[in-house]
Amino acid sequence: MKCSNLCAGLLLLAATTVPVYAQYAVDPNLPDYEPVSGVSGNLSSIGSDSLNNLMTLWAEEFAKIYPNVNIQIQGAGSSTAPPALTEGTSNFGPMSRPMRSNEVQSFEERFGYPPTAVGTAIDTIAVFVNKDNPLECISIADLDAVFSVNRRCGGPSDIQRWGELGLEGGWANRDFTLYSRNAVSGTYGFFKDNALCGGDFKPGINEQPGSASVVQGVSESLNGIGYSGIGYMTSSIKPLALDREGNGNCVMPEPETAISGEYPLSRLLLVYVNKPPNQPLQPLEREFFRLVLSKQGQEVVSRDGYIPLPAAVAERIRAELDL
Amino acid sequence: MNASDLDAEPLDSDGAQQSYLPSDAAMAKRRKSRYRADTLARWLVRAGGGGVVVALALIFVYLFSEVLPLLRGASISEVSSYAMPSNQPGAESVARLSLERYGEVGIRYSAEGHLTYFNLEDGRVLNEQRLAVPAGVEITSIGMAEPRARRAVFGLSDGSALIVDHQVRLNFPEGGEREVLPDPQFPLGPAPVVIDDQGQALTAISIQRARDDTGIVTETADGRLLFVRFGTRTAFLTGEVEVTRQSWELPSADQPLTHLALSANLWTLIGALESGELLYWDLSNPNQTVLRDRRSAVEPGERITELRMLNGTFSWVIGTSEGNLSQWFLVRDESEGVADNIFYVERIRDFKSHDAAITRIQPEYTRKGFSAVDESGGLGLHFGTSARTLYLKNISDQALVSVGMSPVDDQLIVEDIDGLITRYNVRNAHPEVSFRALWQKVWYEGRSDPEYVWQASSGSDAFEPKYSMIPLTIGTLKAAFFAMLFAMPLAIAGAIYTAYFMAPRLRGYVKPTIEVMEALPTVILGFLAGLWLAPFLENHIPAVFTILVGLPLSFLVVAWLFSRLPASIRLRVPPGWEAVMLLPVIALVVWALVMLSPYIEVWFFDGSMRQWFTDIGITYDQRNAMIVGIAMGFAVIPTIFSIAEDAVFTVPRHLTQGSLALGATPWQTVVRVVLLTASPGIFSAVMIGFGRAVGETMIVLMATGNSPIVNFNIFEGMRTLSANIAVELPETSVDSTHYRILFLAGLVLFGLTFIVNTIAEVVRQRLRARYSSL
Repeated sequence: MKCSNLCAGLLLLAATTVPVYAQYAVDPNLPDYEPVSGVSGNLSSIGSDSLNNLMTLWAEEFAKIYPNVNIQIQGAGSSTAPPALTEGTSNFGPMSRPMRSNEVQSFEERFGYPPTAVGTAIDTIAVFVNKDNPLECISIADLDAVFSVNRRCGGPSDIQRWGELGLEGGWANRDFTLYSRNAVSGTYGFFKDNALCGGDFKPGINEQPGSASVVQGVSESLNGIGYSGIGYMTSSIKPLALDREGNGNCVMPEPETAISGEYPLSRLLLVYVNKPPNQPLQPLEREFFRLVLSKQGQEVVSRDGYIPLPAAVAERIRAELDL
Repeated sequence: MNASDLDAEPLDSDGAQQSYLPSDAAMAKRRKSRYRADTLARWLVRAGGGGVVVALALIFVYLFSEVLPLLRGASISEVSSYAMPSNQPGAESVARLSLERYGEVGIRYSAEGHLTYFNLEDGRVLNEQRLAVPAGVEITSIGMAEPRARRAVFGLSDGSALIVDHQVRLNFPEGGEREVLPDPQFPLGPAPVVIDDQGQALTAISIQRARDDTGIVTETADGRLLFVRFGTRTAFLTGEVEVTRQSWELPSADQPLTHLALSANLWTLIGALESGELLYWDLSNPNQTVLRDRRSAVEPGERITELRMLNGTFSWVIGTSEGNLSQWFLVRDESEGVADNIFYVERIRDFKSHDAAITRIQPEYTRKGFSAVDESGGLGLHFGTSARTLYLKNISDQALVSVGMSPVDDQLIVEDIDGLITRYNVRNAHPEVSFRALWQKVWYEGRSDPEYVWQASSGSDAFEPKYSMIPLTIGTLKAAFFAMLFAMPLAIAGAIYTAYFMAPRLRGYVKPTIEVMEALPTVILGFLAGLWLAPFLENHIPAVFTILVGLPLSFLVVAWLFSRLPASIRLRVPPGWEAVMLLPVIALVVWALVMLSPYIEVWFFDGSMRQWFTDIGITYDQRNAMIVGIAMGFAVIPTIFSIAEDAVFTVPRHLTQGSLALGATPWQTVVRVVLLTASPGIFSAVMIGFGRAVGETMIVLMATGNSPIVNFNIFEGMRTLSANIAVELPETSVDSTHYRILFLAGLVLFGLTFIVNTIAEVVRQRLRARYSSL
């Protein structure tokens, strides 16, 4: 139950390949991983492609410690995780979004209990503009008015020109090119719920197949604005600070602000696992999660461009899993 | 060789007649094997052709079988029936019913303040308690939050309120089966919380949960309207819960309210009066709450008997004493002179009427549907977006007083006025779909007008899926139209020139080269178009127009200059090779016009034609129909060119030569003879090209923004049926409505190509019949 609070607080995203542009400090209070003896066997993971690199890197670490463990990883998309977990074809279901109620339902029909979600890393979704754009900060209500037809966050009027965000000169009458992820990506839904207050995107948005193409689009359009995981940032775009209440309190997407919840668009990346209630995890799975939630595991997160979990959160997740 | 030689041949030197022909036996054998080969070939061809037809039919049948469940309505079947479950006296009158998602436990609130959990199978009581209503105090009003919040509020006669969460929890005993256990929670403590400081009875009450906050709006017996907001904050480290309370007095209605409904963001309050009027208060700034709108919702003499917010709390349904049901929501007032974000109440749609007064409306948990029961024992299942009434029947002789629905929409329970509870299994898988929802304008929640919208998914359950096929169908036709606009003139003119004027050796190079273009993977074309061409054209818009005009003009100039050259030079170019001279001209003109483009922008468009479009009100998307037209044009040019070229080339020589011999110029021969004779072939080339453009996926997917807009602006994008399927199918859950609608999109695409091809074939046959006599 604790995780579900945390998960609700910090939601998630989907992406494709992960270029590494930023590295964040790993909490020194995280415990070191201590190998145990007698671990061998097969592990398989089927699920999200945004977590694919992370899973592979963790698997490499794991195989270094336990050479007798054979790990297979498939990353076709978050939606492939629930069926694989339900059919028992995988041990782990990495997902960049929480399972939908019907996915949980089919798992429950099979096993009688819901799958367990394990938070493994933090991702922030940044709003990007072209590097030549003078804008530094945008309020959620304005962002909503730029992207949405409904303006459910309470913006006073539709925003169609950069000038309406306070830019001047050549920008005053410049229009927007809106870049968005695909309707099926976890990021799309997350952005819709949190930045558009559940409203609808404008029909004219450019839906891109991956986070990298959103970034590419924004860097090619002077008037572009788009969103994706912060890990995709390049030098030709810049992230905007977000102002949750519209009172000038602008927050940049940074590890501290993401963890504290000040930055409004951050979420947990999850790995689902089949854990019967009242029973411990199987030794292989247990050791894998112990590694992931250790200092070594979180260094991998940092290397891959995501934000490592703070020690307190990792501790809470470990306690939940009885690690 | 003459005939006598032939006759003489079979005779050999000694005069004996020896035939070179095979013997009769061998002949018979050969005939037999030939016959066998013929038969085999005939059957192979038949099997092949039949196989194609069968395969197509199977695809069609499969698509159709996936789509068919969309058309089914809802059905319910009775499972069990038992008397009202309660061990305590005084819990007779039902207030609300609810179910949990596992379909094992039912939950019932009585109007006297009992909360009963009972076994759904047989009505056995699992847990029953009377809420902590102080002695001498009565329950005066009851309100429910939206179903998924599982929260109820009881307004008391002493101005306080009791808040209950009817939760269940799962238990997994060692080795045993899952148990669903009652787990009632009191988020603000089991004791009543004070709402009205003046201690007046709360006569109408509404509650809603907004993340960690709880909002309550209530009307007191002396007519005041109060809004109280409880915030609960859990400390990160200690886990301690801190409750804050804020309260406001709102402008009251002048008559007593019968119903109150609050939205989940605590911004909207809807009230109903005895007179049948609906009232709307804007709470977005609670310090300055205004009664924004007030309008009559019913006919004279009719009363509002029930009012509930649908899932998401953006719209609400009212039921009346005449059995009428209608859906309402707030619409932004966009008329001139009205301040920003002023909304008014609008009646959006009506549902099929029940026979008698509506007694209870129960919204679904994750969709925009609801069930309603009435005084004559009727039960209706209705759905908002599609305006469908999926089920409406009298299921009881008694008046039904309450209905509870399963969070996964597979069960419902109703209670009649005698306290008999009946449980039904429900099949209601795809209520979102109707002809209207797919093909006509639908007024979606929160929009100012009915619209065609495709927006099928989101991350939250409160989302109203928008499944209009119009933007996708228009997008498909738009992409194909602009591709044909680009490809048709180039391919057909090229085909005529190549087949009729070009030197055979040159043709030998040109035709295979263009046909090889066909092998270019469309994903590469799309990639190039999206990542290189789109930004390039955005920065060189004037070049598009100058090239369009300048290139043909430069051909004419070159041709004129060529005709002025002295014959000694002119005749050195062999006939049919003139086109080669144009290659450097094309390269040079295109290069020059692209170079010139920034200057044109500076001279005529203040430095940026892109911005000039914006200024004059033309929307320009970087990835637009023009880009798709060019990229997809490239993909269909080889198809059209190849077939059209063959058609022109196979025009019988005697026709063209006859025409030339009679004194017609080559140009007249082309226009009057060749084109007419080849027209069936050219037409089918165009149609096959069009069919290809309609079904093309990767180019549109990659070169456009996949924006589901409904217009034919060349500078805006589109979302096609095929690209939409490619994008969305991999991640929809199997057998969901969205999944089936994507199959329907496939069926529409199939139908579209089928129609185009059929028309093409019919027209081609007619043309052929007309010109075959030439």
